[in-house]
Amino acid sequence: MSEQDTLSIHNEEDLALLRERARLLARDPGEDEASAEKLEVIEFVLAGERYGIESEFVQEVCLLDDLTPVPCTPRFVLGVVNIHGRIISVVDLRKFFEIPGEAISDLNRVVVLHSEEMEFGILADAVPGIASIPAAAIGPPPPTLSEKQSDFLKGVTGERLVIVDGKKLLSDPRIVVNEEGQV
Amino acid sequence: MNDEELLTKLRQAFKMEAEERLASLTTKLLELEKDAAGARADELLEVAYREAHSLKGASGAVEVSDVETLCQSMESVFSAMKQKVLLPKPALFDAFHEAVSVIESIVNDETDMNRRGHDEEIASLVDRLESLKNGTGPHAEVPASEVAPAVVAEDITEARPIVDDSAQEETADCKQTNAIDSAPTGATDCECAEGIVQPKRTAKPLTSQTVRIAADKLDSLLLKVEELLSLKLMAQQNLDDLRNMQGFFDMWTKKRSQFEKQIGAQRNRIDTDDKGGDNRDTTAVMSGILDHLDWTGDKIQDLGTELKKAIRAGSENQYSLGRMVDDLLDDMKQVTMLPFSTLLSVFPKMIRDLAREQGKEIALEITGSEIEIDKRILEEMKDPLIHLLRNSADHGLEDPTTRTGLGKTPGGTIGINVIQTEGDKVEIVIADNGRGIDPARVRDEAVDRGIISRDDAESLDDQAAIGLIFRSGVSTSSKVTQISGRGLGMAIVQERIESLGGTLAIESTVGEGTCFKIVLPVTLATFRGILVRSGGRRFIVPSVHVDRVVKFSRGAIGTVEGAETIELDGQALSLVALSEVLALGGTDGGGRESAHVIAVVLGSGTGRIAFAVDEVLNEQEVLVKSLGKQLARVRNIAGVTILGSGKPVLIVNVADLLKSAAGAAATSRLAPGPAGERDESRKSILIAEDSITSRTLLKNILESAGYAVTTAVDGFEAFTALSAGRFDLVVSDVEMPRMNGFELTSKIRGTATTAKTPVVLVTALKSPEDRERGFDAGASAYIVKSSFDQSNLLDTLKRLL
Repeated sequence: MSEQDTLSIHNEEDLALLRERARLLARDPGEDEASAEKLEVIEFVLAGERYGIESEFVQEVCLLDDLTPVPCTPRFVLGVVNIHGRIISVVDLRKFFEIPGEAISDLNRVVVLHSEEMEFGILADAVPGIASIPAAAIGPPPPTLSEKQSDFLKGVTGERLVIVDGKKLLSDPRIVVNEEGQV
Repeated sequence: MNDEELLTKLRQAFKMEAEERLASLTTKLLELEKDAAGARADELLEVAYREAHSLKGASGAVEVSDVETLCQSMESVFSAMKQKVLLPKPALFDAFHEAVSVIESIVNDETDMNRRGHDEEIASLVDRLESLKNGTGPHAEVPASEVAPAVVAEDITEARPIVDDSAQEETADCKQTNAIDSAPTGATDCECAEGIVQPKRTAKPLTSQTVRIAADKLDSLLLKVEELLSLKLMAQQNLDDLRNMQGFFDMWTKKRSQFEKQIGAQRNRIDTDDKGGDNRDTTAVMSGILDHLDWTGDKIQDLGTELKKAIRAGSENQYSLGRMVDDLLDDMKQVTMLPFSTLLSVFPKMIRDLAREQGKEIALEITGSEIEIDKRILEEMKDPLIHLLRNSADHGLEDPTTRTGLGKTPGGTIGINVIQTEGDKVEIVIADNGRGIDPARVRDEAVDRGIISRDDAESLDDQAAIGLIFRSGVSTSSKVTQISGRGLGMAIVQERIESLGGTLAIESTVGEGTCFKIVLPVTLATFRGILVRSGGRRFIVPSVHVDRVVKFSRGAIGTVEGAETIELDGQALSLVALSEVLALGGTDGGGRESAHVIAVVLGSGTGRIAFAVDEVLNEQEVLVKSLGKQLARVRNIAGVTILGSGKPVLIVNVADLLKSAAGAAATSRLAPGPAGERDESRKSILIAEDSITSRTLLKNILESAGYAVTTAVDGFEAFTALSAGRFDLVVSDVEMPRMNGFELTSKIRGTATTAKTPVVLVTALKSPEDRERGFDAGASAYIVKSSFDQSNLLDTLKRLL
């Protein structure tokens, strides 16, 4: 993709995020001890929405290079990519969450998620960076979400950052394509 | 591999095993010594006993009799200690440590583990252990309470000269002990070890031959080496290209030599004419042209010479690169081999739990777990083995009451035997002494499920009937339990094993038991595959399943009961388009516009089916990789490989394709349609979009709507495509490298041939200014991505076309 989207800050959301980070950095460290538990999340943008997923589940973030579509798979499976000789399947989280509409966006980053038992990538428009969020700042997901969507969410922060439940996403059988001999 | 080589190889493995076992033995002995009456004493004793026992077995296998003798002796003493017939005493530990140290020196003997010279030492040690066991030795019974670390240290001093080795060596020994057995007690072991460390018999530290590396690191290394394989293939491709050029050159040389005479004659004529001096100008020009011709000829000759050199160098490079890559890959495969024990060690607990759950008594006996195999094969085998074991435990073995009733022992046995058969094959035999598989019941089940007709089922012999359990949907268990009996498993197990290049066979005798025999390659091998293009995408078809590749005229397609067929060897084969079986949608159809159809014939005998493809590209070496953990099993796709370019290409699953094709055959239409009516009505659309996903998505949407779609990665490429071909409409993104959508639109409007072609801009830029700019440039429609949906775009297109 073009280089323009690597370092420039074009939108309000990014600026807001940076301001928030600056505020957090400027804060008296004494405050932190009181605010207790924090969640380190990798933030990614998907069709204009900001999502976050705990960094412990993120193996790496890379540019989408050459996607090979895999036939005979559900719609949320976009295909496989070659990342340093490893084959990683890539999932469209919007389709998996059954978010209606076919919003085209500039999906060009792969966020590779992994756990002991599972590994796959999710496509994202952009990956602004890492954010540290006090666990207390995460509220329940809004009731407007689809059932499946709220199933996989930890909640939403005051800054409208949607926190994905990485553990659940990586362990849920619904994400696995396993057509046991169903031919 | 001859016997001697095998023995050498086995001894290397034995050496490593021995080192680990000795290290473990030492730690356990130290702990025991420290606290012989402690809570963990029994457990430690058990481990020590097992280590000695296993080492005895291993040394027997590689014919190192000295070690075997010593271990035998230690084992019997441990056994007595376990039975509490013999109480721990310092003199015992003393002898144990000494025995360990003798074994160490034998194992570390570079030249020959069976070199004599230890005989006396061994004989005296064995005697000592024997007399200690019988309580007749010089060190008579010592009450257990007196066994304390301090005493131990003292006693050792008495028994033999105190260690006077350098402190360095002691530290090394300590570290190693900790590294190998990182139990929480490691630190204390260390202190203890310093007190009673052995005099070194060999100068070599125990760890010098082995390095421990995290498996993950090796994985990534192996992947990189495998990528070199594509480099090798690429080098071969380059060489082939060069050889093609050589062909052109040879053709030129031939042509040129034919003209040589004529050129010479012409030059003579000019020389003669020149003397006459009539057409001086023409002659001069002609002479110039001939000079140029000569010069060109010389240059081409030079190029040809250079080309020959390049080919020679290229083929040398290719040869050495190929050899290096192959060697490296082979070595790397050796490095990534793991013993079966890494997998099998989880099974005893699983079987124990299963047995308890079902009220059965099951003994699991494992042998050969030290045999090594490619780590990835081992990982792939986990699920199949779990399935087979569960099968045996769940409906192979009977409950104790039934067994007793049948005159069997109440407890059943499941054995896992791993055997290294040939150099590169491993056999896993899973055998139970349960009720066996009843062929009659399998026949009934298969008939009930509609897999086979009653007549066919009855005509099968018992062995073939048992084979039916590999067909999806047949289970031998009349009751479906949570763990097995869903009837899908065996088919999957077989498929998984076959995909690893292995085989699965089954033998069963009613009332006596069932035996599954799995033969696997030791390392993952490459295989040959045919690269084809279908529906605009490339796929690999494993060559072994390809009967042949055929090309025939479209008119040769016949119809049998509504399904399309071609005739081959007097047999009518079903013909289906690969793209339709794979549900790729849109294009393909075996190149409907061409007069010929190319098809790959898969399967064998009467089960053959012809799959039409766009193109057969080449045959090449393929290294199969899995689709990853998330895509555990995908219909029609067996795996993926990485081409020289780094692009992943899917490998089709031929068994699936043959089954799927049976369904697709009826709907396929490859015969010439009603005079290409569809093609005429099909509008062609050019998409310019730099994001691959958006591009693919747009392409899919438009293709499913029946448009013929061509794609370009930016405005510049789109404009080039427009000047080369005719399109009915252009769909373009705005923000693109090289030439953006506005510029592209202006260019299209400014070119006579395309000035009237509708342009639809699809963009993330939603400000009214951008919209305005778009229409100013000449866009026919402007769709903002965030408000984008399929019908919106399709409506717009319909309106414009």
